[in-house]
Amino acid sequence: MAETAIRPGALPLAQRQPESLFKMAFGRLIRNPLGAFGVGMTGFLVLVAIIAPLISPYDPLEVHTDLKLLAPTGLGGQFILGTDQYGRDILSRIIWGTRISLEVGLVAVALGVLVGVTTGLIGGYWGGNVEAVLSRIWDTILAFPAVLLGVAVTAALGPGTLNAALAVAIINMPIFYRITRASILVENEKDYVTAARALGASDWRIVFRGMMPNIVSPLLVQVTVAMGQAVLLEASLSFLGLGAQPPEPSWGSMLNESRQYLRVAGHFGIFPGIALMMLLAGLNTLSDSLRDVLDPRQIQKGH
Amino acid sequence: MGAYLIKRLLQLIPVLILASILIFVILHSIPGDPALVYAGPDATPETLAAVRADMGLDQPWPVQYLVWAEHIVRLDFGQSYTSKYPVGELISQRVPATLELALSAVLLEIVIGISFGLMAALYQRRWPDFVVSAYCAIVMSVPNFWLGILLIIFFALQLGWLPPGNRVEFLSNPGVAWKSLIMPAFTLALFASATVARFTRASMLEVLGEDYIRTARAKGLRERVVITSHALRNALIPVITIVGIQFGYMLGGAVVVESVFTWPGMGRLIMQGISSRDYTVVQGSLILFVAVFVLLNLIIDISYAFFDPRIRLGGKKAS
Repeated sequence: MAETAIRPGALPLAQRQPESLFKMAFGRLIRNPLGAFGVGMTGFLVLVAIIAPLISPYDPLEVHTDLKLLAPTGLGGQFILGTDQYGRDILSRIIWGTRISLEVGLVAVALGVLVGVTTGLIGGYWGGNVEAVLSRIWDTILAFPAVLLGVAVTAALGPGTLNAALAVAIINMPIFYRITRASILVENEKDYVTAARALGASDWRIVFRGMMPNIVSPLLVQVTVAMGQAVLLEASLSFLGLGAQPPEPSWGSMLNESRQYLRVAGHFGIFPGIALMMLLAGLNTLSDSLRDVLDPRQIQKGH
Repeated sequence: MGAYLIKRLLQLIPVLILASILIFVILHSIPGDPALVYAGPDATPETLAAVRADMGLDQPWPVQYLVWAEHIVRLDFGQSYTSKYPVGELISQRVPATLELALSAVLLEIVIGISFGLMAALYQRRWPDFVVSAYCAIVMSVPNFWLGILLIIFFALQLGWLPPGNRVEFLSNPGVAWKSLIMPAFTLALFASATVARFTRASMLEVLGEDYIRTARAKGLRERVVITSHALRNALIPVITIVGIQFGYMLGGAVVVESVFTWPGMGRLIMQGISSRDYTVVQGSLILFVAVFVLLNLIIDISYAFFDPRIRLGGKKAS
């Protein structure tokens, strides 16, 4: 952990502004080999998603009826990763699939954070009956195995990318609720909150100006964890036929479609999975190293 | 301990009630008319009305819920819309397959996870440790359904060693049964094995730093005795609870893995129920899943209290 030691001359914890915490965290993140891998891999796939129209060799929906289930031709060939059962270019579909995975992940996590953190702030700060009711509701969601709740919700709302995102968001809400609530409960006991109260600061000010910056670190780590889980869950739902619908190029539904052709076109069942694994590996290492970097014990060790 | 147990059991009741309401609402917002599913596409309006009245679908939702909940409490899951069999019977036909799959996965998870974790701890910061941590990092990024597809491509289609799917019952043909079980079980176990390995490693390292290990070594005990009967025994306590938590996740994962290997378990029952709009089947299976999941989490919590007396007696929580 030598590379995570704080640099001499860095501000002590109490004086540090939240912005500099992130700058510092990012700096330490990319100096750590695993962190650099996580940032690099995730960044690469985000870039692929953004410039998909520029780098995709074909339209992901373009059908070549006489070129079905072609084996990969490799670099320089016509279809680098081969074609699927309708003669669509697999590489192009994987490239566009990056967009679906990241979009669903972002929407799901953003919505999960929005609802989870808001209710967590309310529950943690005001407590009482409000907290009791909120906790009961979120406990109920957590009583379901995630995949099953996703299956049930998408079945009810109807299959589709947006509904899959909504289902994943619902699964994320109680997790963000619990983290926020627990952090607020800890902060509530601290002297600076008592001091702010004594000075007559409004609840709003205490929560958003005082507490929020202190509870951002665990939330940020959870955001990256949740992104990985959201991507995986979307792929699982699409694999089960409840997420993205044909002809949309989602990795999960591509893998689902590939199952009928594994005997003749094994590559169809391999490449979309590699893309999924790359994104998951990027997000997982990112969240692991972010957790190390933002761990207050690690930061204080440097002093 | 007794009072603590009763308190925890009572806390389950509101969660289960809310979960059953949630399941009911979700299932009843699925578009489509259950009466039509029951009576078939050729039914006349009169037949449909009769079916609706017969199934209580003409009642308001709260009444329908109460009727359903009252039946569930008596373990009466109702009748399947499509096959007309009692749902309880359909479920009990499927439970053995899912249990067989999940329990074999747990066994694999324990064997792989604990031996890898132990190896990593004993050879800390040497090559076995790095190999194990690479294993964990890779395995945690492999989605189970893709792993299943890869195994099918390789072991079933290329090598022809194992069947690509379907279950053979142990009682009917044990020689073939294990072949049909091994790929699904491994697929379900792989992710969990990485979690167990990480936990075993961390827990083992912590225990190896304890004073009583030094004492045992100072007494001149052989290293193997120190490791197995002093260190490992204590290190495995937190690992047991992790295995329990993973078992809960496996119930969810089984839905996906069963679909990959056309394994005739509860997960397939739910997916088939959804695609044929057989709501009573889905409803009954979901509530059963949730009940098992919640009960499992309770057992894990209690096992913490059992192994660690500091948590017992509810009163003060650590946080």
